[in-house]
Amino acid sequence: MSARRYERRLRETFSPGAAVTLYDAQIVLGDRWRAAERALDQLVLQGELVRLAPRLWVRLGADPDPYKVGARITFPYAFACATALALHGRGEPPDAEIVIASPEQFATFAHAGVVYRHAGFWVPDDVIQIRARTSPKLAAWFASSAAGLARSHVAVSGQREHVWVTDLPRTLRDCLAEPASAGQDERVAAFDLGLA
Amino acid sequence: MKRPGLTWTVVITAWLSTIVWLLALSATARAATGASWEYAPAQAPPPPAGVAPSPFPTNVGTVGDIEFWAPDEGLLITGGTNFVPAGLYAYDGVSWHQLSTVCGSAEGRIAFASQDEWWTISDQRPGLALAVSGGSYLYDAVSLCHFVNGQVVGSYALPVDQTDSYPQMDAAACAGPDDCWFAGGFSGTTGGAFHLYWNGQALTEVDNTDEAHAVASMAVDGSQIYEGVTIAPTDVYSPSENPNAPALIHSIVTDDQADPFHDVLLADNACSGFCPTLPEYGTTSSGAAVTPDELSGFQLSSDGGESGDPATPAQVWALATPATESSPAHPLVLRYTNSDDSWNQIVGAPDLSWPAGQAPAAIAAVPGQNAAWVTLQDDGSNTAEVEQLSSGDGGTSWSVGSEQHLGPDQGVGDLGAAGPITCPAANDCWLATSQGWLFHYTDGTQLSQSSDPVFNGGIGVITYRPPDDGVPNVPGLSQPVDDSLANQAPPVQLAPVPGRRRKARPGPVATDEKVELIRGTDTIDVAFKLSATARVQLVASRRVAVRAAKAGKRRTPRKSATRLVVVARSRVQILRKGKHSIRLTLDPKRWPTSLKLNAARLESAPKKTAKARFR
Repeated sequence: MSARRYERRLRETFSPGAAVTLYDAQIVLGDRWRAAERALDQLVLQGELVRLAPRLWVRLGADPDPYKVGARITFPYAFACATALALHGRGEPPDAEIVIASPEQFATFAHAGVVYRHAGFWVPDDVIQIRARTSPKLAAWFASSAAGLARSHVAVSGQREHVWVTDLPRTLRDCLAEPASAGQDERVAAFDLGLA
Repeated sequence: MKRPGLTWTVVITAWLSTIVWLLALSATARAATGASWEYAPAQAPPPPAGVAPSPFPTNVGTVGDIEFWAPDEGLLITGGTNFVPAGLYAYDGVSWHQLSTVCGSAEGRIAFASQDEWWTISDQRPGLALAVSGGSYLYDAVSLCHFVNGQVVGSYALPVDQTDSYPQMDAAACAGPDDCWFAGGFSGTTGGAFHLYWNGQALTEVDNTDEAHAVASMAVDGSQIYEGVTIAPTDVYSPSENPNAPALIHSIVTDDQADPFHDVLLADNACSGFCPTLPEYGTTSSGAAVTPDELSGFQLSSDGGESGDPATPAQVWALATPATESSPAHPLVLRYTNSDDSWNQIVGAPDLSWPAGQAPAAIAAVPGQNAAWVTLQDDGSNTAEVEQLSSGDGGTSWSVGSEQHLGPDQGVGDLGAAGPITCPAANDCWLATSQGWLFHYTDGTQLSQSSDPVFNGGIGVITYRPPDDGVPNVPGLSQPVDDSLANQAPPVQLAPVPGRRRKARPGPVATDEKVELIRGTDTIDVAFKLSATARVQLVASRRVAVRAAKAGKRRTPRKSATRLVVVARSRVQILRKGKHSIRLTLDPKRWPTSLKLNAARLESAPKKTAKARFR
């Protein structure tokens, strides 16, 4: 298949704002990773994609869903600390930061006003899978956040998208161990007392 | 007083009634419309480590065969793509997922021997081919893999492009774990059938001595294996054969070891009067009779045996298409039912045939129904087209259903021409397109996931295929271990002969002697090395002339009589093994002419009393 057909197929498959891994592109194109990476890089040169991580691209034209981006940086993973607290419906999301625990480290990067940061809180037995739209507070925050994220991001998250997140006890322990990742100290303390 | 709770109860009850009514209406509508084809692609292979799973399905490449043991336990064999490795995919009632990355083939076949035991006709591992005369087809579908409980327990192949190489095999069927057959045909001018038989312990080649026609397909009806053969223009007929009406279908009778391939008489038992055997080949447009070699081999499909349920009324369908595009033959479809032990010609009769330009490609019997699905090939079309042959009056009259275009009808576009098709149950069929996209004919019944780990992914992906004889064993660059004497008889043990044995003489105990004169003195330093504890003394001697009186006593006087006189000696020392040195002061007027280091090995270490003398 020609390079132009590959590029066209990627454009047809991934809408603006979509997070694309090299593996996704391989599946869509049905080809080896070199061919898929070449097609993705060609779209980067054309200004249609931006490469965020070694194996992750995002289609430009719309702000991506931060949870979809965060869920595709590495695997296995779990949203941790303040990001996890918000997903558990126990707190306000921090200011445009997604904290991700995973055994594989990745460099911190930012896109569309959201910072994606690795945290070393990886305990495989303490992660659960939840739907990203379970928290109404999170939806409200994304709708009114100063980060400039539109409500559509939450709607995309709600399309049966499940994400991995540290469970609540682990989340609280992680936040107490690294309060800077949890936002305000008083809030963490309050949650800790509430659970106790 | 108004009771708001009651009002809400009425409203909720009304809503619930409406929802229930809508659900019932939906189910009624579904039942009225019946089953339909749905787009049901396979899952992508598992992602590599550190990569998130993908929600996107994939095409699996050219599929050679789809077979089911039960509606929730199925297999397909594929030649793979650049992304999907060749191998097997498994269906567990919920999804198709990768089962094996070995033993794949775009021309492969699958034969279930039991629930967790099956055989595949697979591509050969690329290896050394001497004087390759063609392309990769040399490796296509010329080897066998034996799967048991999620492992490849046997691989069978011979080197390609040799006189005794396996030809491409097109048919496989098992009537049990110890009764499996694999067949094909030799290409070229030689032609003829090729069979391999597995009796549960060994794989042997079986010749069809009477009829030498390539085998096109096999099907199992209960415990009976049928094979359809291809009549080629170059085939050689045996004296017992009628070239105008050769046997197109054989039954394999394993117990008849002399000739297990029995001709099947395609007779319509319901016919009264003079009824020729089937099939009716028909005539060409010019009125000439169509000959058997203008048709391809019969593709067989049975609805009995695959599910392992012999109680199911079995029917065997047989489809033959024109051998070439220019062939004047018409497609033929025969159907056998074991209820009346009779064959009927369904297609090829004057009143039922396909329009020009359409050619059936494959057929799948529908279990429990008087029906079969037929895939069609249109010239240049990239759409999978299917039609259903069915009878509403118990098999007396037949009709062809409306043509369905898989892909466009489901809103996913053209995804390739129709490939293999199979139906594990009524209203439950699977079709793979030429690109490897899958379509499912279903009435909406949701199957529960199979509990068998072989099918539900519990065993993981099979990646190991054991070695076979297909790749010649080439010795490595390093020298092999010399085992030339490995098989010789053990050495004869001779009885010891009594007698005096010569005692081994030990070597010198003192070695590496070096003599140095210490500068400015008359002292020499002799360095040496002892191999064992020894008694050591350094002796310096001088050769001097003897006096004449003594010399004259000899009967034979010497020309010059001399003798050695010791001019200096060191004290006797007991020294341990190792390096040592001895110094000896000499008289310059009586300078020695020879030095001798006397060293006597001590058999055992000296006692403690002598320890003080050790240096």
